Amino acid sequence: MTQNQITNPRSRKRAAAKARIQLDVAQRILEAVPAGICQVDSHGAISFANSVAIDFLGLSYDDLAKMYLGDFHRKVIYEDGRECPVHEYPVSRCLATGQPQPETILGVRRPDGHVCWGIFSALPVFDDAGALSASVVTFIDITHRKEAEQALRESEERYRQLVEFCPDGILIHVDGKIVFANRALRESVGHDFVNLPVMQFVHPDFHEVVLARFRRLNEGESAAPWHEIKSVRSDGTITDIEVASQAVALNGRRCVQVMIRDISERKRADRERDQLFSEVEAARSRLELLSRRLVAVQEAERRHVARELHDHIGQELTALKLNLDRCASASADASAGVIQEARGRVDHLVKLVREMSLDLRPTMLDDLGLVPALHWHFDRFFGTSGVRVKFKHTGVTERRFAPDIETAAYRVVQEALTNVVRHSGAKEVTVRLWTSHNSLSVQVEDPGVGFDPERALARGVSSGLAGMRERAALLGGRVRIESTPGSGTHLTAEFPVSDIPQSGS
Amino acid sequence: MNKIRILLADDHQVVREGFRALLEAEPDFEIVAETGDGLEAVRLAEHQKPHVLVVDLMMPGLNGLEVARQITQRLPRTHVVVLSMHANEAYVLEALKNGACAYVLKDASAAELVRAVREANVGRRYLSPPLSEPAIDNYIQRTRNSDSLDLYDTLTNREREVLQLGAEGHTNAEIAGRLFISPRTVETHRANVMHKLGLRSQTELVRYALRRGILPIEETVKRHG
Repeated sequence: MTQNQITNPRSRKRAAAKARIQLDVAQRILEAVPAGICQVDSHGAISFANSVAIDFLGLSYDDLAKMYLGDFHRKVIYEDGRECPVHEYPVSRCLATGQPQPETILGVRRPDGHVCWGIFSALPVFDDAGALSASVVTFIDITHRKEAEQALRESEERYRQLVEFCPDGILIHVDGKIVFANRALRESVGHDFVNLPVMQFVHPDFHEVVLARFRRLNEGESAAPWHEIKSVRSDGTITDIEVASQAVALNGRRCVQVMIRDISERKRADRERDQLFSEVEAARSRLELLSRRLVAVQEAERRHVARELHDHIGQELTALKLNLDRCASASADASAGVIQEARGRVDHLVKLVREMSLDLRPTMLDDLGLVPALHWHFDRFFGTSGVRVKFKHTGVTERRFAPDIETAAYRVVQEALTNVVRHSGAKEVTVRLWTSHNSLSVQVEDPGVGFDPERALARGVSSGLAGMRERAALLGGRVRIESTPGSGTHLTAEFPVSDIPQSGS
Repeated sequence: MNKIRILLADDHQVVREGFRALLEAEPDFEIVAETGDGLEAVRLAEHQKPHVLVVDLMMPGLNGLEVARQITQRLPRTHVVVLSMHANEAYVLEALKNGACAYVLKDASAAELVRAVREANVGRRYLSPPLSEPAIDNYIQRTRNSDSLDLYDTLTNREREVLQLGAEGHTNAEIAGRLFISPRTVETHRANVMHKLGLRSQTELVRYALRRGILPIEETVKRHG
């Protein structure tokens, strides 16, 4: 049949026409495929290129038809940017070996300088005699993909730099396991902690809060806003931090990016401010209490003085006036007795006035100083309370101190003794008075029932104690109370004094 | 007849006039001057050189005690009678210390003041009853005994423990461990001890402990030597 077809001119003509059609079809196919196709003959001359290849290489068909493989020297690069030598082109290797060459990604620099990327492969072509006559190069244009990849890489690099050099700590964890930590965080923690569970660094008090935030992120929330928690390091250090979390995708996995800000400085400043504030507040309320008490004390004193004046002195004066009236009308004999009675009243009045004056302020304190005034007070105190005072002092007899210091020391002792009578049940008290290092100290020790001074102050029942403290504090001194229930009380007040002994007394 | 020359100083004019009338009733008494001011009293005394100065304890300008002190220093012949409302040994003692010869209570009888002036004029002591020399001596005894405070007594039991352990060379932390209290508390106690005893260093503390026999000397020598 074939023989017949060849020999028969008609059939030859038909065959030729058929072949032409076939070539035409082949050419159309070559032009239609979205791949670049070139043929390079065994001498390295480019014998065919489809339009995709021509466009890709950025050359005209005429230019290309004159070119050899060697003309692409220095124009072809590998993916990593190195130059691909001519003998390494897949087509060169194919021509050299007669073997098909696998896909290789290469970039080709076009005359306009633009680099196009393609996946190249090469197949050998043999003639009828079976000799290698050419190689067909096919390639797929991946320039767009490569450029997109590059853009992505650059964007990722920008992100990485941003995260890495962010002054706040940033970590990424997947299902609670830390997979990344930026430089700020690594430096602040000071040891490697990647792969450790993130909860290990959260203070137990905040586990619940943090887990709830994770849960919400896992349930689809995109971000958890800034929130204050405490972190704990492996060495036990607890730090105040602020965290914000965000769900991000890493290699296709949903993970959580956490930003961490150390706020311990701020918290410390806050605490300091709060403490200062509460100190000021406490001082203010103490002052308020003190001034209220001062007013109350003053009123009580006035009431007392008024009552004394009315009940005792007033009564005596009335009686005295009656005596004098009787005197005027009585006979000489009778008046002698009345005068005697009146003299007795006057004596009593003098005594009353003196006592009142001493109660208000012992003149002895001003005239003679602390030691005689205290001696005097202890005598009187024994007379009214039955509590004996053992008084011991040193270095104070020949010294006078500033009047306000002497007054304060005296009043503290007076107040402490009053407390002893009221609360301790002691029958003997020791009072000590001494000076050392520019201070005057006075101590009242009673072996009574004792009490808890802080609780007494806190309850506010002992306005006496608070008053002593305020009095001492106003003069730059202090009052210390050491007492334990059942074993008595040491009350020590200390006042600063200048070291210049007064001349005179 | 040699009259007893008297200077009268009292800041209450009514009281002063009363005293003046009372004293002038004595034929051998002569009031050479009177004043209501302490400084003025000293100046008048230096000028008049009275035999007796009758001075109120409470005086503006310069109080009676100070007037008495200055005058008896400058004018040995002038004797001082102090008038006072205080029937109190401390005042009497202070008046006597300042050179007063007599101490008369203001509510005493007229006869007492006259007697006091006469006694003082010849340099004899006079005290208004119930004040008396034995009472003054008693007061001196009583108060002298009080001037013997041993600063060690001002320490609380806890402070004594801290003092001993500190003197033995224990650190605050060790003391805290021994006494079951916090090192901060030990620090406070130690500071209080040093302050109360007037000590400034650990060396002074050890020296004090040795002197007081809190640390036995031989043992310390053994340990530190």
